[in-house]
Amino acid sequence: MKMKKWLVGLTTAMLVMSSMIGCSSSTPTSTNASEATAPPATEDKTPVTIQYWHAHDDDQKAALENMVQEFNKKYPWITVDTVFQGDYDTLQQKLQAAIAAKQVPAVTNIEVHALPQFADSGVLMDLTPYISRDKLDTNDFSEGMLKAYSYQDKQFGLPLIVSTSVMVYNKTMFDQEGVKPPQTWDEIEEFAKKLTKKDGNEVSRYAFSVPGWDTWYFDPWIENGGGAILSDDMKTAMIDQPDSMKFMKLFKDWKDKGYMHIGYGKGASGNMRQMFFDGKIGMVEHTSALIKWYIETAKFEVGVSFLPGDKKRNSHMGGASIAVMDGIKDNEKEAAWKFVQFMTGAENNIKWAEGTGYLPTRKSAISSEEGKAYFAKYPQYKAVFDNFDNVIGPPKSPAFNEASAAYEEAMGKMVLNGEDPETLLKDAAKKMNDILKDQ
Amino acid sequence: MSSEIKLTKHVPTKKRSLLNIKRRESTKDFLFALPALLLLAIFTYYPLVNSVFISFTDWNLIRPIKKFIGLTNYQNLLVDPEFYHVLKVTFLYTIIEVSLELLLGLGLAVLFNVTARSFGVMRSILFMPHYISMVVVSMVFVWIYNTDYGILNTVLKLFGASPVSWLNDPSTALWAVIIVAVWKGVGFTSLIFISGLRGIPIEYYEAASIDGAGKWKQFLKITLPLLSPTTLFLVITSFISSMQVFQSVNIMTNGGPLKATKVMVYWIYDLTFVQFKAGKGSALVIIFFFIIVLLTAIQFAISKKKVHYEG
Amino acid sequence: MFNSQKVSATRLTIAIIVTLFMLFPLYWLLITSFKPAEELKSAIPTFWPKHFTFQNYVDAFNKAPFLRYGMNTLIQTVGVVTLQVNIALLAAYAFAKGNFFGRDKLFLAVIAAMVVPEQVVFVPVYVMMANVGWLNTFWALIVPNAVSAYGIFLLRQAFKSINNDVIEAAKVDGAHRLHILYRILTPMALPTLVTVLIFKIIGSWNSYFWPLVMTNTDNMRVLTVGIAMLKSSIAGNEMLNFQLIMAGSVLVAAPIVILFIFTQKHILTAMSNSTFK
Repeated sequence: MKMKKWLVGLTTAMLVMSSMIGCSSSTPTSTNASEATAPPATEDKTPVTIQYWHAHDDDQKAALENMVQEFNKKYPWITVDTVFQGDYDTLQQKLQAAIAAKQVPAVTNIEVHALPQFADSGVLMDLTPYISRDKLDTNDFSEGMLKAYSYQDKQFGLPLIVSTSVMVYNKTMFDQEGVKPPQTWDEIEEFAKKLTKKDGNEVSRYAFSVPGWDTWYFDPWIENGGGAILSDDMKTAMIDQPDSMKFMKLFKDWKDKGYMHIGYGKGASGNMRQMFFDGKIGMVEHTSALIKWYIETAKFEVGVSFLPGDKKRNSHMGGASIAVMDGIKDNEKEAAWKFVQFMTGAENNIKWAEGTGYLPTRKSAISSEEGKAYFAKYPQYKAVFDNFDNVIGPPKSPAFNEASAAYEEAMGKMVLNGEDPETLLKDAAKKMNDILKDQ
Repeated sequence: MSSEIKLTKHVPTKKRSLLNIKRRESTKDFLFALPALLLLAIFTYYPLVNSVFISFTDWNLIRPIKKFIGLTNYQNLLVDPEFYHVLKVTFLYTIIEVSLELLLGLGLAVLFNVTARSFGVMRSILFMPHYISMVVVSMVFVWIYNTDYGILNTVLKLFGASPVSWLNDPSTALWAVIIVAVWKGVGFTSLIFISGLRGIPIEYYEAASIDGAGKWKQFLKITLPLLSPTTLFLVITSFISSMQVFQSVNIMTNGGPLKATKVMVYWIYDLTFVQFKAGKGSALVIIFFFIIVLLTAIQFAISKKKVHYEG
Repeated sequence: MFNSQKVSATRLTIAIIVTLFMLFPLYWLLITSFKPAEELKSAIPTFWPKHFTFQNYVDAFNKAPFLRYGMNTLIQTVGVVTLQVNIALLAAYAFAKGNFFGRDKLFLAVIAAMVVPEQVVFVPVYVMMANVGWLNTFWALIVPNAVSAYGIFLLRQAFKSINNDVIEAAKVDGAHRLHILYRILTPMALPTLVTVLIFKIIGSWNSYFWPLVMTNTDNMRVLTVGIAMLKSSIAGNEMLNFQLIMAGSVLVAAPIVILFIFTQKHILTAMSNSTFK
């Protein structure tokens, strides 16, 4: 009977398909076996096309196009297809789907917090052998930047767009009021008292704002008070230690006095910026990536200061690396590696930094004539570079993203409901320990 | 029906030829349903079965190896307070959204069920939000709800009220998201109700008028019962789509603030793609699927007794 | 429609107020898209732009290929809707008038598919699409969406309400199955078919999540994904660029709104003549 044949054929087709899918998700790839040798450098100039999935937003588009053009001049046989995949979250989700389907782009951005997850899963190409083969001088990168993108002593990405959180302030306003940005926690009270303005009970001008929507902005405050987020072995939460809780108690105090604005939730970033431009906030903690944008957008003079410190004076590194995916052909790997080297190379480093607003990453570029001219043009970046040794990577645990949700929520409850910091952080620590235990 | 097919086994050979025809007929009938069944099997049921497998593992979505961990994901979910919170938010959203959409939809249907031309124009305006993308609608409302510059707070200020952070306040965010869905859906609901109203024979009302029944009594005794099949249709379809709310939450609140709008599909998405917990996410998919199927079945069962079908 | 009813003034007033209220967000969308950036942040919002500008549209077109997005959306919609309607007609006929083993159970399986959100099934489907090389092509946008359980359900209800005698008579005349379906039953269920068609056009034109996942390059993106990408490419600055996002949003919504304005009379008639039970 015809019908039956049909069905048999169909069932077979479906079985084949499902076994294909089964395979693709259960066969271990050779990643972990990738020994510390790279294929020898070749002079092969056969045309090759590589895809670069990125999250460079509109302001960085021109700089990226320029870099790709320059790259093509140097390597005319390599075509780079750049594809904007949305913000980091969307890019990450697309990457996950691509990995599951084994159709990955050659080169991608990996956000600094997501690197451990991807590296731990063995989907990124280990760059270490290529670095030693081509004798790339990694000492030209600042150590912290390089370390942020290594995992278990292997280099999985190179720093491409590096930022850190800084204090951006309304210099015109500060000069009028005769205040200077605080350098230590002790100075904050007096500074804030001078700058805060009230209309009856309503605060019409906050002295400063620290974002609460992403732990990245207050993580350094935890450490600067002498505390820590996780223990050194990444197995225990430390945010319930007295020194770790100090900052949030102060935040609550400052917030209750009307000194401090803390943005929380979706859209809070946009609101904070607008309030700053409207003169409703004197100083905001924000990413250094936006320094140039602040300078260009504000109708007043903008100054930049490093985060105020207490026992320490750290700031955390943000941004993303440029990394090569493991599941691609060898000739693509070679081309991808060339692209990664070019994008992070010293020769165009200052131009790239200026075009994107992110920080220069190469010591040789910073000390070059071009670098000096850059700092003369944007003296605001000096505050960042004077403290650059204090910019450190985030805790490197694959569970960090999930665990940080717990104390981000604690911040939210403090901001929105005015709950007690100590109780909140102790609860959060418990949740975090459960998550860390599962790993 | 299927009873005819069962009969075949007991029929003497003489009638075979007739049966063959019947069998061929039923094969042809089946072939008509086949494309739909096949595509659903591949693109809906196969992934679902796949999720069952993943739910027994600790897969993180990108690691090549999945470790079998039995029912651990299910156990962890069922003791997780967050599970019950998300369930609560999802039900709250669904119940409020569906009730508002139906009540207002019925009200609008009664108000706009007029054949005058101006009403036709107004009806098509009411229907407009329904065919505009939720992506667009969500962005418009993000702008309208904006704390400092949104038109809603500006109007409130005119009346002397203090501004509200609609999407950033845990006590208002869920309502804000619900209002968007109601605004988008109510015109559609009212159109369907109108088609239901027009299906009710005018003679019923004439007879009731003769019996001296007032407008309100007519509404309760004739309109509502005779609308019940339409209502059931709307309850079930809007229940299913409300339970699956994702896009508006994703664009307007990301499940926040403080998880106030963290609904089921958003959590599944978040677990799988943000937290890299594909195993746990898949377990949630399976639990969620059974919850919806069960509740839809219950609605059907109740309605079988209550709904008034004509003829 | 037929002759007009007399309407009381109160009823008309209430109806107009409700309509304006419902219309407002769309008006606000449109009007914001014509305002210059500064006007958005003025303390007293303007209900008509002080400085009417097309600049936001120029910017939107410069930042993203909206024409390409529009073409892609159109192709996707035509493909999806054609398949959905035809597959639904066939299946609805089989489930309403056909006889085969397990018919009602299989129908339940079709209906149950409605409750599965796309966010929970897309990873395996994505892998499948990759395996057959369909990723980032129209196939991946169209084929996995070719079945509409909702459409099958509505059309089955419509077919069921048609008397069997019609079919028997046609069979006696020796009419082919497909002939019966397309020439006899379909015209009789036309209002429902039009309604299904409308729903599916709406659904496909506005679909977001599926095309977001299945396409990887700008020249395959559809309008909804394009506007979301535009929004995230100015992420964080959105407060300062709402006029631009609104202009992009108008570009996404305009084609379907225009389509509906020109066909609304037929649509409303069809919908009010369909049965939703």
